[in-house]
Amino acid sequence: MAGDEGRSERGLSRREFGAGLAGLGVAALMARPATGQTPARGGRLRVAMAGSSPNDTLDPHKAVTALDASRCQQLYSRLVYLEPTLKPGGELAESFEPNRSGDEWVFKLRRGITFHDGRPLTVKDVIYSFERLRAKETASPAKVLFDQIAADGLRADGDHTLRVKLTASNADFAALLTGYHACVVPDGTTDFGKGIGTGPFKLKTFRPGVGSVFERNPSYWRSGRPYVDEVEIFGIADAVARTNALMAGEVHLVEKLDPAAVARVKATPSLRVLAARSGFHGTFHMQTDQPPFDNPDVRLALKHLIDRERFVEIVFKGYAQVGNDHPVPPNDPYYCRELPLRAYDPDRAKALLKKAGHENLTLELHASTILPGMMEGALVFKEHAAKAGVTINIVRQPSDGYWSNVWLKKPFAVGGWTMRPVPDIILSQAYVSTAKWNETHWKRPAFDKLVDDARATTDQAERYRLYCQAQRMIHEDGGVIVPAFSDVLDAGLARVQGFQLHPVGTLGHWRYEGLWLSA
Amino acid sequence: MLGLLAQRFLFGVATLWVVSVLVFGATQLLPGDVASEMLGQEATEEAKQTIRRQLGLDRPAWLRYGEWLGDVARGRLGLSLASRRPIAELLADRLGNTLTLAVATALFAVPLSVGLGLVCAAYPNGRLDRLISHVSLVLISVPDFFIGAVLVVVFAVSLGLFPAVASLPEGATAGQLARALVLPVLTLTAAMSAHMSRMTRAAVLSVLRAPYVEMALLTGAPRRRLILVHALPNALGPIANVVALNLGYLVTGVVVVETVFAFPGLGRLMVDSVTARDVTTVQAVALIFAAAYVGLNLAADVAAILANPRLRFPA
Repeated sequence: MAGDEGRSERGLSRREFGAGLAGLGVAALMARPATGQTPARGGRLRVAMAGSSPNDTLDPHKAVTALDASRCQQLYSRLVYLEPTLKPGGELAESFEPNRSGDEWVFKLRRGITFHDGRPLTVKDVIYSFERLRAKETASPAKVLFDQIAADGLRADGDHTLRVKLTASNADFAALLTGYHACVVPDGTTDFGKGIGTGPFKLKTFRPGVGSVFERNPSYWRSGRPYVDEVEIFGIADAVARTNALMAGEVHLVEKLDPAAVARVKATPSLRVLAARSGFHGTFHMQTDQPPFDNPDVRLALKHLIDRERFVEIVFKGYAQVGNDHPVPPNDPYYCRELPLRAYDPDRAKALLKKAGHENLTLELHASTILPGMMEGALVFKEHAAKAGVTINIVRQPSDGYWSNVWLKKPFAVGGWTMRPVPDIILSQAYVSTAKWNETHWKRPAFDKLVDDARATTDQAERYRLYCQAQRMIHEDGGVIVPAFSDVLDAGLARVQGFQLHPVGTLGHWRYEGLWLSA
Repeated sequence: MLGLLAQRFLFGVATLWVVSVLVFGATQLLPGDVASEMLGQEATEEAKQTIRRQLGLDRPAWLRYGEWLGDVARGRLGLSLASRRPIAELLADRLGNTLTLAVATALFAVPLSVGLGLVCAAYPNGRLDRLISHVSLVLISVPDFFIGAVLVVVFAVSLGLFPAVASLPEGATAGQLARALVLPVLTLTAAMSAHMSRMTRAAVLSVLRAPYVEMALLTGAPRRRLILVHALPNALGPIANVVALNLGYLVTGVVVVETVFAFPGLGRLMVDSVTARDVTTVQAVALIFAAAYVGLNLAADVAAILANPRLRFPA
């Protein structure tokens, strides 16, 4: 890690990474800290998630929904955990270091950790888990991330040291291992029904599509934790029913508060709103190889046709950050602060459309309620665009089957992305020329090179510069409109103590080991 | 009469088979499949193919249907496509919940509605009749999720008398279960009692106009005896039918109420399974739904036959 003092105030060394984040406002994300009281023990924490599905699985490598992830968070651990500051911190690994070129990593495991069935954790378990994640037969959604490991790149060095050789340099490799798929399961596991892991809670009961109960793991490695005896996680699909259950005091935490219910929750002293700045964003994406979107002036004109402040106010009741037509949110340390926010400017848009020969443009926008806020967002867009003579006809698509039938198939549609721990993931998965989910068909070799260079760079100031350039390219020329980054918006009883907001997952990334219930 | 029952039973089995063909066909028409739904937005073609191969979805639909039918004929529901768990296991829980709710509601709603219908028939166009008619018409016109939400806000959130969600943790006591069921039962009763009470009133009133009732009236029988002994048995056929339809609704159609109260019943399993394109589970639940309707209608026919000597002893 080259010292980068004096280059700019944004030049962050790896060690300053977290500290720097505090200055960028992430500290403001932290919920009211526990008031210095000693945590009380006992009780059952009841958590209502927003969905449930007979697809529910305890196999962390195949988890898809937030509900799956929230269960896995109780049962399993990863090598590395993503702190709320977006800094990777050791979990099963007590230390992790890349070599100078960033293509080989060494992870040292903590000693004395045991699985729920008493077996000690060794490197073998980690290697088995990673091999399983990248095996074709597993069909894990995280396979692409683990394909970065070289074919024979997983080596044990004794029982507690893992050496990982990558196919190419990646300074973010540790951050990739913080995703909820990267959980470590015991060597040889094929049946996941018992949920044997090293996590803070053990499985008590699991009923797919209904709910599950977890009990305290007395031999959890972080001594003293967890504080509650049991955690019950179940689904209440209906937003109103969820809020009612919370107001009646029957559950302690509810996922995905409806922005319209915020006022009601705020007015009740026994409840509190849990809102975390996040990187979740809906997109209006234009396929840049389809007319009229192949004309950069048309793209730029449309980008000028959303009043973003109003968008945030109307669609998310203020619980969002204004987006700047690229996928990196303002709470990410790599967010390009030099890039001015795009203004709502119907006159400029009109002039651009005239120049492009597309006055009185009429477009079909395919939208769906599958993405929170994006149906309302499409209506706001339609209204704002009308000011420049652009007619947007909204085609309402059913949320059922949206990803397989509409998304990536229609030239102008809504999409959405959850927050990723590092910008590299979203840029490589949706913006480089070869990206699997390149929504906009935007292909620029110069951009691809920026992303590759940034990934291999360990110098933070240089990375910031490269990512800034990448954001500028998407912002100016790309086919995506990102009007806002919505907050993670949940709610809970005020008697739940020790809650830490997290930008990446709902309900503090489902980390309940530090929670306790006051009287 | 046994011959009639056997005939009805065979028709019932044929109905179930037709339903299974229709449901299977319909699930094949749905866009996407279990692999694409399982992987969600971030599905890759490679992963989808792997899952399809593992689940045998790459084989022709008629072959898969044939295998499924063979299994069901031997009493095996097989594995859920989505979770790879035995469907019987998935169903056991949900079917138990749904039946609990249905029986509780039926025990409360059926006597209540039939009783109210009889009261209305006893004093047609009286003040009580009009009151009951109006209230039940209002209740049937308001959507059930709204009634449910109002009950929750009043009795759970404001008064704290009953739980807002009926999703019970495992090992809940009978008392907890009973309290949790109060609001869903009230909601369902409100939604279905109008239908049954009005049918009872109409059926009894039409029988009351028959000549033999007039005869009974002339013998000096009191009105209460006229209704309960002379009219009700002959009105039982249509009443049993409407009761059967409503009980069928309790087993199959209460997904909205299940959603409002987060009650894990069969309706939600059906909706979730369709969303997940879990065809085998959808088939199994559809069979249960169809069997419930067929069985209840059969029961209604038997009740009508037992109540009516002319049907009991066909000429």
